[in-house]
Formats: sequence, C-alpha cells, structure tokens
Amino acid sequence: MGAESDLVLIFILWLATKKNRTEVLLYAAFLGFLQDALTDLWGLNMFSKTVLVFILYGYLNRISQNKLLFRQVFLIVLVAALIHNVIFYGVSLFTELYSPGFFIWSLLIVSSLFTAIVGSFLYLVREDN
Amino acid sequence: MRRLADVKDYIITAIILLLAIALMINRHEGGLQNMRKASITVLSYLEQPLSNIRTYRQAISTNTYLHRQNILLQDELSRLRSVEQQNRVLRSLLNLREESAHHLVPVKIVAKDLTSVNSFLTASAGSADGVEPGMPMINSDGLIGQVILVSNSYSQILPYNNSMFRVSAKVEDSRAYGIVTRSGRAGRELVLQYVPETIPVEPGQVVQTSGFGNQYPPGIPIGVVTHTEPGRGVETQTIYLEAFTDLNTLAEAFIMEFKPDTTINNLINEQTELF
Repeated sequence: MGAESDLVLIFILWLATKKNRTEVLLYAAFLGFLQDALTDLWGLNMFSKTVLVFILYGYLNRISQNKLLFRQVFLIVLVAALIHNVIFYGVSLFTELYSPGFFIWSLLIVSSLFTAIVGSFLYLVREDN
Repeated sequence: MRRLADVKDYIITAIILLLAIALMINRHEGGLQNMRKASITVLSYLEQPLSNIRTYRQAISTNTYLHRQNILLQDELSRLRSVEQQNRVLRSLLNLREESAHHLVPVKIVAKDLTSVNSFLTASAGSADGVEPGMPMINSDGLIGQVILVSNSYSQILPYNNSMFRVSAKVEDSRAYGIVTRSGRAGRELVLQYVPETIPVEPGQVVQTSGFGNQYPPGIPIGVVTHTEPGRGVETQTIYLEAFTDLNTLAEAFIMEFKPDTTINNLINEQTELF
C-alpha cells in the first residue's frame, strides 16, 4: 500500500520537547524541505511539518517534563501524525503534487499508526530516560 | 518579552509557509527544474548503496527460487526417466508376448534376494493364474530362471545365479550343447560346460536353451560368450558367458506356460529302468 512511518516527524516531535519554538520551527522547515527534495514533493512536508509544530509546540513543551507512559506516547504521536497527514493530504489536494489515489484513507491511518508505533518504541529505547 | 518572541515565531512561521507555498506553486507550474535535477542527483547517489543491497537480496531470493525449481525439475526428470525406462521394458515385453509360441503369464517381481547363496525371486502369479513348478521365467532379454514353488497367488523362482540352477544350452552357430550353471563369481557371469574342445567357440556368440533337457523350450537366449578356457584333464572346454537379463533391475517378466512332453519323459524313465 506504500504506507510508511515518518521518522522525520518523530524527530521533530522529540525536538519540540527539548528546544525553543523558533529553533523547532526552523528545524521543521529545514528537515521538511530536505524530505521534499528527496521525494520531489516540493513544499508539502515543509508546510505540513511547520504547521504541525506551530499547533502542537505549546502542548508538547508543556508535557515534556512529565514522565509519560508508553500508551500516552503512542497516543500523542498518533494524534500528531494524524494531524500532519491530514494537513499533508489536504494541501496535496489543492496543489495536486501528490496523488495517493484510492488508498488515501488507509494511507492516512496506516501511516499514522506506523509512525506512532515506531515513535513509541524509540521513546522506550531513548538514552535520556 | 514573551509576546515579542511569539510575534517573532509567527513571522518565521508565516515566512516558512509562504516559502513552502511558493515551492509548491513553482513545482506545479514546471519551475524548480534545476533544484529538482540536483535533488534527483543527490537522491541517486544516496540510493545507490541501497539499490545494491536490494539487488543482492533480490538475487538471493531468485537464487533460492531457482534452487527450489531445480530440485523440483530434477525430481520430475528422474520420474520421467524412470517412466521412460519402464515404458521401454513394457513395450519389449509386449512384443515378446506377441511373438512367443507359448502362452505367457505377465508377472511383477514382488520380492527378491540376490545376495545370499539361496537366491530367489517371488513373482505375483500362482496356480490360480496357471503357473506350475518347472515353468521357465523369461523377459524380452532372455532367460531369468525357473518356477520351483507355487502358491495360489505367488510363485517362487530359482534365478540363474542360484547354485542349484541348471539349464541345457547350445552355442547358437555351432549347435554344440552343454550345461549352463552359475560361475561362482559375482555379477551376471555364467559358465557353459561339457562342450568338446574341438568345437570352435568365439567371444560374442549367443548361447540359448537347447530344449534337449525337456525342461525349457529351445531358443530362449541366455547370454553371450565372453571367453573360453580349456578344461583341465578333460576333453571339454569351459565357456564363460554374460547373461542377457539383469536380475538387479528386474521388475516385470513373464512365466512361460511350457510343460515338458510327458511322452519323452516316459521314454527316458523306461530307459533308466532298463539299465
């Protein structure tokens, strides 16, 4: 189906718990730009990741001091990935840069689930525990 | 101060978003050609090692698939060869059956012991099929042995490599006759004795049943002469021959419904009683 986890998104979410908003915004824009350059989807990831950071930074920064359970991390990453993917596909509909075809909903949900699973496990094995 | 930072972030966000939109529009309208070329070049360099790994993994899976296919094909080939060989044997047996003057009972070899001194074969036909003790067993190559015991459905055969086996035989061209027995050596070697030394026998000549013993009909091929040796202290020669039939690969055969002529047997018995 082509669904895959978004490691860049996971990294940006982790950055949002560590750095200030300006830095995270710039990182999100730069990494999104690189991702776009490699996937020939110019501007799509850059736009959706920047918007996601703009929306979620406040919440992520607030909970960064808490000790989170596995399922909480899973839920947070899942929601973040869903928001990101909704923005991504929403923008792609307007720009017609990306054609997910009939699998748009499965891609939306399955990609978000993959990202949430990978993000949760990376949270478990991170070194700053 | 906090508000100033927020304003700064809003401005940065707006600039980034505008930049992203500009990229999207340019991409959509056919712009960014140079950037796209550069990104594709970079991507191709990055993907090269990955593609090598992918090619290697694909080669491994293809190799595994081909290996499996090879085994299946070898198995199929082996089966077909076996079927072909069986087909050839059955065809030759069919020809023999059509040409034979005597009625032939087709049999399968259901048990065999060729390694012990008392070697034997067991055939899948018995008295219910008309088989009687004394009948010869043959196939399209030649003589195999003689029926010695019969049950309702099976019969026991004395093969030519048994030490008890005897058959009256003659050399095809010279008509000189003798007795064929096993030579005592392994394999298909038989020995023809009691042929006078004055009879010239050459390697390659065919030895067949003579019919003089009234046990087998004449003309059943037994083997081919390999070499001869002069007898020690007697005026006969020892003729070695290689049997035509291979007992090791034997699976199908015929039992020939041949019955000795009772008149001849009676005359022989009467003569024995006279002297």
